[in-house]
Amino acid sequence: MSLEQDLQLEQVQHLDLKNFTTVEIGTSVKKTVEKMRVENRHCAIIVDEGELVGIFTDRDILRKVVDARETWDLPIDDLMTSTPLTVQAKDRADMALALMDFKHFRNVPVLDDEGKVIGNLTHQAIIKYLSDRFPESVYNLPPNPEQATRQRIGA
Amino acid sequence: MSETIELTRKDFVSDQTVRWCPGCGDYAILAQMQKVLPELGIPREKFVFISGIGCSSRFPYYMNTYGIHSIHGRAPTLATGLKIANPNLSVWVITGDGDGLSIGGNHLLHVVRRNVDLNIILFNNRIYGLTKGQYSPTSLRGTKTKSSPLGTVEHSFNPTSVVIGAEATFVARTVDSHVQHMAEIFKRAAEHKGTSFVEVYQNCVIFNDGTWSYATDRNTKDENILMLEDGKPMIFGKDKDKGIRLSGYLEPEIVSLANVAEADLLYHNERAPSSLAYMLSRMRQPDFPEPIGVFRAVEEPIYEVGVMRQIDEAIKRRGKGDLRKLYHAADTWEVFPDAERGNGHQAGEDSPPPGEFDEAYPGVVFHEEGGLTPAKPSLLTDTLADLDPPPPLTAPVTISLAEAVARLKKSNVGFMALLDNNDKLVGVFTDGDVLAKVACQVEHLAEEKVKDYMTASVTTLTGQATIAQALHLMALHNFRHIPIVDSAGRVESVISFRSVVRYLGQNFSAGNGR
Repeated sequence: MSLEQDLQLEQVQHLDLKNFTTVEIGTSVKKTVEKMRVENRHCAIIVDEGELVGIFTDRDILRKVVDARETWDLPIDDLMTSTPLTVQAKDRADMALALMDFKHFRNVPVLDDEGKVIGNLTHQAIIKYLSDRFPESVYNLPPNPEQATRQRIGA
Repeated sequence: MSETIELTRKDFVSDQTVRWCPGCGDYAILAQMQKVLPELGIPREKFVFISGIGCSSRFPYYMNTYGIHSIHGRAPTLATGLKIANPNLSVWVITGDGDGLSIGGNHLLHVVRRNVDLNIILFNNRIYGLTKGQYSPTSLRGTKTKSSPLGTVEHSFNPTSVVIGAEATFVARTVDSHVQHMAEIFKRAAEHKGTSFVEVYQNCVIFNDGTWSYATDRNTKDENILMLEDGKPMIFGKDKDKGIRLSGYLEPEIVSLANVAEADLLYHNERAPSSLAYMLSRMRQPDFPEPIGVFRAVEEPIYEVGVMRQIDEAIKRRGKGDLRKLYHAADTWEVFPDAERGNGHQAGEDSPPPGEFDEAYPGVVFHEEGGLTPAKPSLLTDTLADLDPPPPLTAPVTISLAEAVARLKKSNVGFMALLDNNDKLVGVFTDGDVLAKVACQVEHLAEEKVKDYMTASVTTLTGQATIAQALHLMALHNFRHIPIVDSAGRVESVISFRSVVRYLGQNFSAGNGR
């Protein structure tokens, strides 16, 4: 089975979707950035009573926030990307990947049947998925490439 | 107070060539250890790795810490002595199923029983790898090996059951290919006060390949593994639709969540009497999913603390001892050298002449020619240069923070390589750095230098490095970009995770991957 076929059969919900933090609408930009930093997440999902209303990413921070002091106290609603494109938990992983590639998205919120956010699809999730398929080739490597031994060595 | 130095993974990588077979599960364990140690807040000089004999026991060479490659099975003994001599050390015992459970089985039991505050990592590959494929105490009944050509007739050891029998205060299990889980378990082990015992399912690609495949294969592992989480119900399966319940006979049974409420399942409790941990350790394939995670974590008195207290009290009562007095106290005698007594036996007289060990066992070393198994050529042979990566955005390291931010914005990228006068790479500045150190923290960007906010300790690769190597760094360390440098340290290009994902998605099929 090719990797492509494998991704076709895989559902988005089975990928590692934990790379996000959740922020209530109305939170200040500064508080949002702080939460992202403390939780070490590159993406904040903005919700209004549990419903997805926008996303705010490290890319937004670079483009709109870092050198614009006046934005720091604004509510996050002013700077977020409103009603972002989303995928469904049971969507095919390859379709989601194609969407990310085509639109140059680095974060795509994932919703369940009831429209609740269950995660955030990132390239990191795909990297992890692919690495898990080939653990011997990917995880079992020396700390630096030049430290590898090319031959099997016995006693 | 001494100044604390922020350690990184690289501080724990030694300069030794790693002499494990390509594809060995030991590599994944090494990578996670090197990732976890900097996060513990312990100075590097306080770490000691002690091993016995075996493939796994080469581990201390590859850690840039203190280490002892000791006697077969006796690593727990040396570790116990070291902890008594210097209780402030963070001591790690690295052992295997042969070293730890056969040759050193007795020592393992007693270090666990004593609850010395150290961490034992047992690499279990169910085979003797270093001596080329004899069966080990954990080889399953019927396993055919070089020393059991008709299959073993005996029952195998179950490492977690053994140490729970010795009342270990911390018992955990993880899998070499579940790298994030392994890192979490290592961290928990390090934080535990007392003996921490961690069994790692580790694949020997040469002599026992695939022995854990039910727990590592992406398509089946969720059905075959039960992730233990303290206080949570025992639920497993890819769709989290199955659970473990206690039957009337205090035996576990598998139930479907379609018929049984979550509240009726067995809940995990790390502090429960050891009978729960023991029961979990007996759950084995194919009848049950095999639990991974922390089986048991309880606080009990620590060995070296008790020993030290006794010494302190004895000194208080009787004063400091005098070694000279002790020597001359009573019953002394003299020993004459053998030669003077006319009994001149030369050491080693009867031993065989030194020779190449391998010559004694012709033809049993490897069945296949060449260093790499033919199974996985492309990830391991295609190089980063084949991806034709683009040059990165570069800038002199002397620019201001404001200038660096402006240039990232103008180029609409999240990664910048910073160069010194000779175009040598000295650091990188990324959107991750902006988030972690700059945004909403630094008001006057123009007054700051980028070099104070960049990441100075950069992991680089050369164009000749394999795609597997880049994937390894991205998967294990969450790197999103890796600079490619030439031999002079000048940056040529940058690999992004997007380009790796695209390469894999388009050019890679499972047929040429496995």
